[in-house]
Amino acid sequence: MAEAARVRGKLPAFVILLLVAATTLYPLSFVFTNAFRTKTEYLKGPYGWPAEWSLNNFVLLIENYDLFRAFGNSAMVIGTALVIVLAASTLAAYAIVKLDLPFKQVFSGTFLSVMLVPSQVLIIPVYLLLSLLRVVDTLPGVILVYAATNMPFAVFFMSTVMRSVPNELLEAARIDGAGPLRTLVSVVVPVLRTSILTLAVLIFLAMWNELIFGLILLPSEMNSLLTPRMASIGGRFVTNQPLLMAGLLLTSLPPILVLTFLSKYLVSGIAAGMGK
Amino acid sequence: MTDTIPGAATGAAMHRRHVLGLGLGFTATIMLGSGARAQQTSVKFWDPGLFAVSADGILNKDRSFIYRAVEAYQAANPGETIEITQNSGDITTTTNQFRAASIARNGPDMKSAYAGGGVLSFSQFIEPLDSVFPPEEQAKISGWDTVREGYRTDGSILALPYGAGSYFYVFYRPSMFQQAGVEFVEPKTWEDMLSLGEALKAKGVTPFWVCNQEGYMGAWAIAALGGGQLGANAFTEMVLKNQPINSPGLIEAYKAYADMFARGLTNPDAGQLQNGEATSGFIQGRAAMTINGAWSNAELLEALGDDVGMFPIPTLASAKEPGVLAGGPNLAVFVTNYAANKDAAFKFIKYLAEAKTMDLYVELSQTEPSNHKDADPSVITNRLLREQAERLKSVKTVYPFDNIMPQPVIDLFYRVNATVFTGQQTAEDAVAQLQAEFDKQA
Amino acid sequence: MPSALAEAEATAGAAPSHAVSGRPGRRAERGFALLAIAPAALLVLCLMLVPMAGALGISFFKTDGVTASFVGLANYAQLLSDPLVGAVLLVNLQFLIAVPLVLTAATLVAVLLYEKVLGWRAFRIIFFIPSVLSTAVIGLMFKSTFAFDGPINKLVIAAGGAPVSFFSTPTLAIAVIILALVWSGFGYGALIVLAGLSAIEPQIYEAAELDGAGWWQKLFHITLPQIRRVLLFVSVINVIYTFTSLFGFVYVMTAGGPGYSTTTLDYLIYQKAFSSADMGSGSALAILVFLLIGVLTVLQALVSRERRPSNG
Repeated sequence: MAEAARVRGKLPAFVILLLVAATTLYPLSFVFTNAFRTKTEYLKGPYGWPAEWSLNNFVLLIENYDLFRAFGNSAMVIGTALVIVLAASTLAAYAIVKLDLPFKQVFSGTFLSVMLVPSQVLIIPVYLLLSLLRVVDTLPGVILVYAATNMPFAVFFMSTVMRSVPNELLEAARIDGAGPLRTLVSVVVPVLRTSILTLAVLIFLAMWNELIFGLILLPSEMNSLLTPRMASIGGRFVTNQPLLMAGLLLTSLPPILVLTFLSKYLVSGIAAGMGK
Repeated sequence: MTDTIPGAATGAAMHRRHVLGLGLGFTATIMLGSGARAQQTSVKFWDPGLFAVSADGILNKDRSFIYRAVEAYQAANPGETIEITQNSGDITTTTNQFRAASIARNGPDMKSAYAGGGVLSFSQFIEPLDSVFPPEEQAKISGWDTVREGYRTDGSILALPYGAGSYFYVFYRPSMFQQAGVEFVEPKTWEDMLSLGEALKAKGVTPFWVCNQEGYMGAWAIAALGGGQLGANAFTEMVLKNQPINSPGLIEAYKAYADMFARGLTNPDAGQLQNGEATSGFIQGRAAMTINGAWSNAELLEALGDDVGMFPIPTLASAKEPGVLAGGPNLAVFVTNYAANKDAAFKFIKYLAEAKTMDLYVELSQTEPSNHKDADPSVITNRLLREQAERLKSVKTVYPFDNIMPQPVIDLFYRVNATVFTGQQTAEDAVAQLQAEFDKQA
Repeated sequence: MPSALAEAEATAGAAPSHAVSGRPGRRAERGFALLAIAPAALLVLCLMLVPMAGALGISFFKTDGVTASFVGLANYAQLLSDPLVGAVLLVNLQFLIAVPLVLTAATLVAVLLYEKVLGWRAFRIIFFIPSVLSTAVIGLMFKSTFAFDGPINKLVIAAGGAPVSFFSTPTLAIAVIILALVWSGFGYGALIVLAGLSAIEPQIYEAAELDGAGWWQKLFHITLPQIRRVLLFVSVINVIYTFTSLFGFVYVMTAGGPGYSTTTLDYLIYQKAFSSADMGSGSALAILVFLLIGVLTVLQALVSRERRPSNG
């Protein structure tokens, strides 16, 4: 009874959500069908099912765009940078919010303000800096840049959620004789695990979709990352839209898969995070 | 929240942003790169998709010019290696990358680029080629004036111009004229062309397919119309300040160009479609004519077969230089002044300048004829390109505005092209703005 | 300046952090705190602050990358007197309309997902798809939906109107881009809001339900006040986003036109920094935008602080 009333009351909301859902699936289906279309057919009309499902675009990507290598590079760069960002930002937020950190205002103010810089202006200075460190066109160079550029957001995010951790919990741990590091690992991190997972997803998306640094700091094909590589399909005077679609489809898949697997923890597991 | 630069931001020849500069005053940085390079015997060659993309618009190593050329070169010259890197096709990105690497002095030994501003804006990183191409060698190749320092006829040669260039044409569909019952006669003036359009429109056929949101079609039309009114050196004279931008001739050109839209001779959404859709609407038969560059040859021929023809963008009846063909040398290749192994780079650039290498380029790309005196015309298999090569022998050409102006002026040029066309800005206002921006740069 | 926000947040926090000071081991804790913040701080210092200082330095020069001449504040003076910069700023301010819209949509979606509305298992994946799609795909979709012969114009014609050129009419073009921003940003915002909802203790709801509170009452009296900090966070990052990352959308949909009517500040920086022979001017513009966002961020923190007492 109560359940039925609850569902009925939510019906308008459900219909709206359904409509919004339809709009998000449309572009995906557009990209999907055109990734399997030939260029000639695409030029005549990009809508509807392809007359024949051609794998040619994907074969071209594998043969000419070092698909697998680029994927490996991306996994390597993003995986490493992600671990650095998550660990460093959790530690930093813990220090800012829960510990007696000297110059607290300076630190938190600095992290926030560097977020406000339009990244375009940093490109040349960063390139020259990496040049000085001899890590231009190497994966470690980009790992450092990705870790650094995502750090302010991550610290800001972690500080926001860190404030919701009750101080009593920390006090209790302290009374039990735990030092600050053990308190962080055994009390704070478990409480914030949903938030950390959320942050991991957000940072992953940001790094996966990053183009400017990925393109400019890694000139060699050997080192290129997947998204920038796929985004630079096309070229001189002609663009091959179906080939670009195939590339876009491949770059969209990993984030969608990540979301599919993690959404369970992000949404349903969310209530378990606190207060139990 | 994906923040991206659209990768498909490629675009056609003459609307390229030959970015004029992204400098950096870090004095310290200039010292950085010195000594950063170890012993290097191979030549690093950066190509932002200019020499690698084959006739079908994709990077295909078996059919791409630069890969085939390097293969042949290495086979003939054991011990020499050329290491090709494909950079992003996005011009802004690739320019930025090259500038950053050049300031750090660890960029490539050689690079392909757009001729004109695409070369000249990097002159501080380029090794002049005057000694590599002595006068008797220069005489065999055309297009040097587009790669000379400061556009001066006595300026040093900064790059090897590659290919006879891309020119702009009006493409048409004979079958659509037939269906409409309108006889196609090649128009000799812009006015005749619009009348031809009126005849089609009267029969219910959209005359022109135009995608001018970015103002690129405008750049091609204005190159032809302005060149007609002001002469074959119109825009070069402007950049050398021998001729004002704000001139009655250019205003006439803009007015005639806006007339096309005002008279309803285009698709109604001409102002909001992007250049990426320029060929698809024409191929789908949504209009009988379209203005585009020769780089569309292969695509149009493949999709339309015999049902496509072309003629140069006509000039006005009042033209000082009637029938001038707009376009010009498009690609070039240069050696950097910090290259570790300049002699090896020079050797390869000489190889690229040989007639048979240039023939290979034409054969594989089919977008432009060779600019070598001893070119073999039989490598041209594309019917449209053959016709264009034939026409090119007998006409004067005008090098377009957006090939030579400083980048901020070009950026504004594209924008006023779009707004003047749709009647959102007057021709007089547009030309005055361009003059003001140019004065600001100078 | 940004510390106003930090301070606002600190006072909003569960308990002030200085509660721990003054007891033994304080010195050790400070040492540990410095050690804990060191990795993040060092990375940001070396790879962001140093390059930023470089950009700040460049903004006082006229330079092409090889030669440079000091011009003092001339780049700034030139920008501030340039009518184009003012016009583009106004365009940017219009795009700020997207921020409350994203915030509202993200909150509603997050709350409904949190309450397990019918079909939530599917929605929780589908809604995040726009956040992972590239700008190129999103632009393509909006361009075709609002095309001259697209579905929206078919509706307009069916309703007896004349088809509209959405992307060559300035106000409509801005409206469509805002719609695209909201559409592509709400899933991302919802993800963050969901993380905030996770922090609310279920007992509060149980108590309210015993008091007979309805859905809207719970939303306004419990949920929203409880996630205020997170909402402020979403708001701040969206404002930053509006000033630093609209480039892709605008580039794909209108190329900044017609004229400069949809050109944003980051588009202008991109154009200036990358395409003009003068890097100093681009850097100066970036610094000005940086200051502007800073002011807006502080304002948001202040507004959020003033409202606090009335919200409980």
